[in-house]
Amino acid sequence: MSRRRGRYADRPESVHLDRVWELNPHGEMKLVIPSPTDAAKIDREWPPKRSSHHLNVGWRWAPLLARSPERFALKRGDGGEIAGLWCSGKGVVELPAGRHYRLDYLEVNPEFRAGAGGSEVSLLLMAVVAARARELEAEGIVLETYEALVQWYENLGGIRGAVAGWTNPNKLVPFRFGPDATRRLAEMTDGEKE
Amino acid sequence: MVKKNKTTLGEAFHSEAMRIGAPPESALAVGPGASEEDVVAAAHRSAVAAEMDDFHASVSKLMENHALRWVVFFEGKVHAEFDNQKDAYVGALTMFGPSVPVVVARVEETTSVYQTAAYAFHAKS
Repeated sequence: MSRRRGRYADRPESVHLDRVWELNPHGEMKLVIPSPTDAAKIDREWPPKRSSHHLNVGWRWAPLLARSPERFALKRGDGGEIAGLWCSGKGVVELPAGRHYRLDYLEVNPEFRAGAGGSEVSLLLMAVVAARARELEAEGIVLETYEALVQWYENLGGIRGAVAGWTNPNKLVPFRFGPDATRRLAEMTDGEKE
Repeated sequence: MVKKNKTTLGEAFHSEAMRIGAPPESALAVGPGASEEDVVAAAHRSAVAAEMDDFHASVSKLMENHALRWVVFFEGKVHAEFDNQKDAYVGALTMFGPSVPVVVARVEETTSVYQTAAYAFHAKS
């Protein structure tokens, strides 16, 4: 039996894989590569939990992950549910302002949203994205998002506005996390080592 | 046993999470693979939801002059009223076209059914 069975063909390597964060009161969060089985489970269980007015009510992660060489997820506990995940079809892009990690799709488990740990899980997910960006020697992060999320990204340290050299294809709100914001986010993953 | 690769996120992390707050959506970033139709439909859903919230907040007042009538509601006010749902949809389309997130709803204290011409036009099965 192939060791790669149940996984996509191109498995990203990262020093952060299998890292575990103790995120009280939610327990342990482990960075994993989401498998096709995980994607199928998400696509089966998350859509009904998304509010009908959520902007991603029609998202399906299986095809997104299948075409993304960069794909990671935070999994709760050992073998538990996915708390959040992201992917990028490109990884790092070279821009006039330097190398930037292009964050394509990111979602927090609808059950971990506001009132149910959304603050902590969302912050940890973005912090791990930043750590991954720095691992790939990207000094910043670029992404597109919806108007409803502008305040949240600004609170995280992102800067709204056109990014030189990057044509955001969906014409949504472009955001850039510069070197300082990216480093600050990434350092949050270090917490207090045991 | 303490896991070798385990990090505890302390009070500073939780304080920062509280300062930043929870995102209003579960989707936080939208990639280049999203179709324009998806993006447009999603934006409409969000706009319609906001308009519907305004409608619900106005129902008591609307009951004074529009009770049990089907209304075309947009930007906080009634633009037209009709006897039935079908005429209201057609009226909304005629007045605003398919791209404006208007609410078509019956004015009653327990109103729960709503659609818009825009959403109906863009909705995918």
